[in-house]
Amino acid sequence: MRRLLLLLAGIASLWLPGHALRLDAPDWVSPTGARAPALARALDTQLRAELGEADFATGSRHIDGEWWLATYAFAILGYAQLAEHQPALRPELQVTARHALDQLLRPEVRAFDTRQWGDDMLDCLDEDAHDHVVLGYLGLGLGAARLLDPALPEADLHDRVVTALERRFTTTDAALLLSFPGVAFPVDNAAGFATIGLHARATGRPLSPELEARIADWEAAFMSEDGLLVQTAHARTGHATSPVRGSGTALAAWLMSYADPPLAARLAEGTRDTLGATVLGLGAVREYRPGTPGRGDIDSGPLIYGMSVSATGFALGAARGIGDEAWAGRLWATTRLFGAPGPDGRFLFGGPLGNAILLAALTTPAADTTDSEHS
Amino acid sequence: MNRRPWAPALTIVLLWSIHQGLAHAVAHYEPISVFMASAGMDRPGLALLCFALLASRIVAIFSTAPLLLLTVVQGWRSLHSSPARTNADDTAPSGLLRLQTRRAGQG
Repeated sequence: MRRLLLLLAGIASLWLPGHALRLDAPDWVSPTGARAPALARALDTQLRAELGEADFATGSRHIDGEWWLATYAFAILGYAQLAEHQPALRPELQVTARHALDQLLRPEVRAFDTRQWGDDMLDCLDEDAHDHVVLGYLGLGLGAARLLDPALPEADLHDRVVTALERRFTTTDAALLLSFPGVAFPVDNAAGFATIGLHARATGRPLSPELEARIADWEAAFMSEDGLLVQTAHARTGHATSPVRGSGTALAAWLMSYADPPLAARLAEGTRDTLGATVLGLGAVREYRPGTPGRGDIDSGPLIYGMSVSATGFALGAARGIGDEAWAGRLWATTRLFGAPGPDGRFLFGGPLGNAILLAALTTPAADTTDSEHS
Repeated sequence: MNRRPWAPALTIVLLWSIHQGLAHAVAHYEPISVFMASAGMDRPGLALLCFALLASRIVAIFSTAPLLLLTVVQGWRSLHSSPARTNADDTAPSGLLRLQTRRAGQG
């Protein structure tokens, strides 16, 4: 009897936690769920506190600045998507997003980019001396704010940001636009594509054939056959300077759902099928291919048995973007365990950026991923 | 084990109390996440608190299911091996019942 009892307890400890952690998933990820509004309100409270570059304390002033900007951009994206799911919240979320957008557009928030290039990304939208592809993240916030409020006072600025990005993408001879002098990340270019895609959605204008061709070139140059993305590359030649990685691939899979859903599906399926893992019902994403050695860094977060914190969080958005609810559920169980949602709706381990990313990921709408050319 | 059917339930309560206490402590200090704290390493106290919460959370969540099972089964067994029942069974003519009673007493 005692052995049977221990056996049952062992089975329960292996099987139940993963399922128990998913029990409240509908409260978070469904259009009518009650937890996402609570997270949005808790995030708003966090963002209204005196938030600054120093609050991110990554050890790099430059990365602190990047994360500060990304916090506002992803927060506004989350607010806009939540309003699409729950229209009754739109007036409240417009006010919330207004505050976040005002913060996003403060010169101090993009000062990390200004320090690198020597000019302000918003002061040189009509010239192409510098790539400033980080503009793509700022543009995501602008585009989401416009989705939330079609009469956005900054609509003209949004149009100019998108025009600058599209012109730079389609007129450059280089394989990638630079994130910073001498540094190019394919995933940062994906953020630029996402901004243009979100603008198309907000204004009802389709992507131009030139941009679609540019995205096809990006896919050919930086994606492996099994749908994974190289992390860094030489901007001019497009030669990969790092292996394919989970954090960049998962974030690109999520971002591309706003610009090119079929391509997003190929990236997401690569993330799920090659880098994905499930342990005790908990889903996670490896940073490197199985068998490829590698260390964690600021992009991946700490690696736990090769699983990346960042890649797993971004993959939640990717899974939602391609409508793979089973995968999203497994990833949610991991997020629930390690994120530790508190009674007020925010994730205790999230911090402002983590909570902003999770709100945006959890509310990401499923895009139409059918593609006559590839399917 | 049969003499302490409340032990697993008490363990669950203790684990969740520790977990909730740590959760409130972490919430009070407005953490910037385990990742950021560990990456920056300029707030080691907060990082330690976050890791303690994470460890308690994992232990609490993964031990609750077997402990609940133990609580239910031990409670059921204690009902079926109470002294009154044992005395009653001891006078029964069935050898099987006496055997069950002895086993229960040994447990």
